[in-house]
Amino acid sequence: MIPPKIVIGIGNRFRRDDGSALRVLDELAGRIPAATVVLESDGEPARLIDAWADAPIAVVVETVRRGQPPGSIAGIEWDDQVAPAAGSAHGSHSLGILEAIALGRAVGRMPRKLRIVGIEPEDLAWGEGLTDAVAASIDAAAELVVDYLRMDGGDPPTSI
Amino acid sequence: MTHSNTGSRTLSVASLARVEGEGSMHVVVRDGQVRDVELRIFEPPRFFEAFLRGRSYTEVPDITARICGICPVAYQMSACQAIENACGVAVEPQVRALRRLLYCGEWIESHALHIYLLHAPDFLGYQSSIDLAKDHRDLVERGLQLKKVGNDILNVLGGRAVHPVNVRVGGFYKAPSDIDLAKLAERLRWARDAAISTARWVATFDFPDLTLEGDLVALHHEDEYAIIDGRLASTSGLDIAVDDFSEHFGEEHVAHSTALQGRARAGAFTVGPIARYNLNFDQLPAIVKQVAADVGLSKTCRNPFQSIVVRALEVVFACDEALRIIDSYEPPDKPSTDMPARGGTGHGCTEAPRGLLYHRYTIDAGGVISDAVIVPPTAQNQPSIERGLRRFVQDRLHLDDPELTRQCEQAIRNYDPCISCATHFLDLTVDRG
Repeated sequence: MIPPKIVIGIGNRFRRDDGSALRVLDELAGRIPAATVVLESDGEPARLIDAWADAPIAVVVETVRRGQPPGSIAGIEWDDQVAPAAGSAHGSHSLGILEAIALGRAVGRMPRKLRIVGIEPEDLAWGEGLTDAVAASIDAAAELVVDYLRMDGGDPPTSI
Repeated sequence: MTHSNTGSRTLSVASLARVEGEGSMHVVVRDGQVRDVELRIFEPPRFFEAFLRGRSYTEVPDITARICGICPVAYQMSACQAIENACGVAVEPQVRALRRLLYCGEWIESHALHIYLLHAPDFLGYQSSIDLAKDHRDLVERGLQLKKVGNDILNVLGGRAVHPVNVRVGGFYKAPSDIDLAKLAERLRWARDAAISTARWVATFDFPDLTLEGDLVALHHEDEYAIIDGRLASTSGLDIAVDDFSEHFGEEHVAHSTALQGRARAGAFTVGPIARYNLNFDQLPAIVKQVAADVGLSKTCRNPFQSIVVRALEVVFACDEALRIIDSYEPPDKPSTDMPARGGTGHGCTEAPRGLLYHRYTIDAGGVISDAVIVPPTAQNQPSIERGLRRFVQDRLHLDDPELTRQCEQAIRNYDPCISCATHFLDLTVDRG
């Protein structure tokens, strides 16, 4: 059986803009095929690996600091060998996505295609609600997720 | 490593990896003597305690589950127990058993994560679990599979593994089916064997000499290895009800940290797997005692480096206990007990994977929270970590900075500090005069 495509949102709704990825998941309702798995995650690597292993495509939405204006969206296509330079993109979950990718590769448990939708945060303090700039970017981030899911999950990643 | 203008030598690493969350440790050495060790915690301003005030008592399990991604069940269970205590209602035995089963899942998941991905690399000379996996893929895969069994329990009983949604004050929204539990049992039988292999593996590691001094504190239950209830016990003879926690334990601000540190009336103390093991060895099932004997661990263990062995034994226990609960499972008449609001204050204490987790809530007659106090295990262990590191560094001042830093990180990981419960940002600095 072919595993379903999966969208994983990493974040915490109680840490302001860190909840942006989870808001993107909310926005996906009715916009993606029903068979797609949608998963909230705290970014813990082993759970990420379990969730995405062998999926034809996994789209991970994550707060990513790249020094861009708040609300900026970055699409990172890992299987195109576009590995970010050291220090160029830091998830807000330091033991999260990057370690999960490295560990997943080491044990051979990766999706065939991996896409990351990064949202630049403004405020990661404890509290509820997104800042205006980040809230304004949610719809566009959701649309990028939809676009990625339309891609067929063909070739396995060659290098990350 | 840098040399400052004052002649002091400072070593720092960008972050202390393989600790859940972030924080910082600062060590000051002058004239060959360790002068100070500070665990610097930059705690969010008690966000959740403030956030809970004014909320309904029924919302507390869902909100507190968000405090920690690694131990949401612990927060939910302590919260439920405290609120039920305030309401003066006890849950049915079958609901209690299901809670214990859910908690076993969290112990398996958290301990397997710590053993395989965070701590074992220290003992085997690897920088990370990724490097370990490159040389020993089969071992890491076993750890991941073991962890997944815990994850599966959380999925079945909690509705999902991250921030479980099936837990409510009074019990569960839905009880699991026999079929669901039978599938879990099949996986748990493999997991119990894998946990035994894990214990035998980690027991072969080399353990630096270090003795955990001071009082060890844990829940104690006469009839079972305590997880979700019992009395508060210590190696110095403490034996009190959970309701009396605040009279014996407190938190206080220290200058170097914005977090609160745990303080006992009797002095610094340690909570966690080693405390549980020392206080509750007699309550462990025969299979765990046998594995402990096989790997050469006596019923008293005070070397914090051997906490990795104790965690492995607790995984054996959690798998065995989960199987016992499933074997004797009878679905409850109702998945939850009615829990009408009643004004008052309630206390709850359970054994999170990292140790004692205390909650206290004051509720008004309408069920609105007017006060909340949450004391996580890592906050309680901070003084003990500092004290242990002070001795540890003193005995290793001959090491160069990179090796000293590496060993300090390993020593800190003995406590499996879940600093994300209480803080962010951890980096280590050694300042040698």
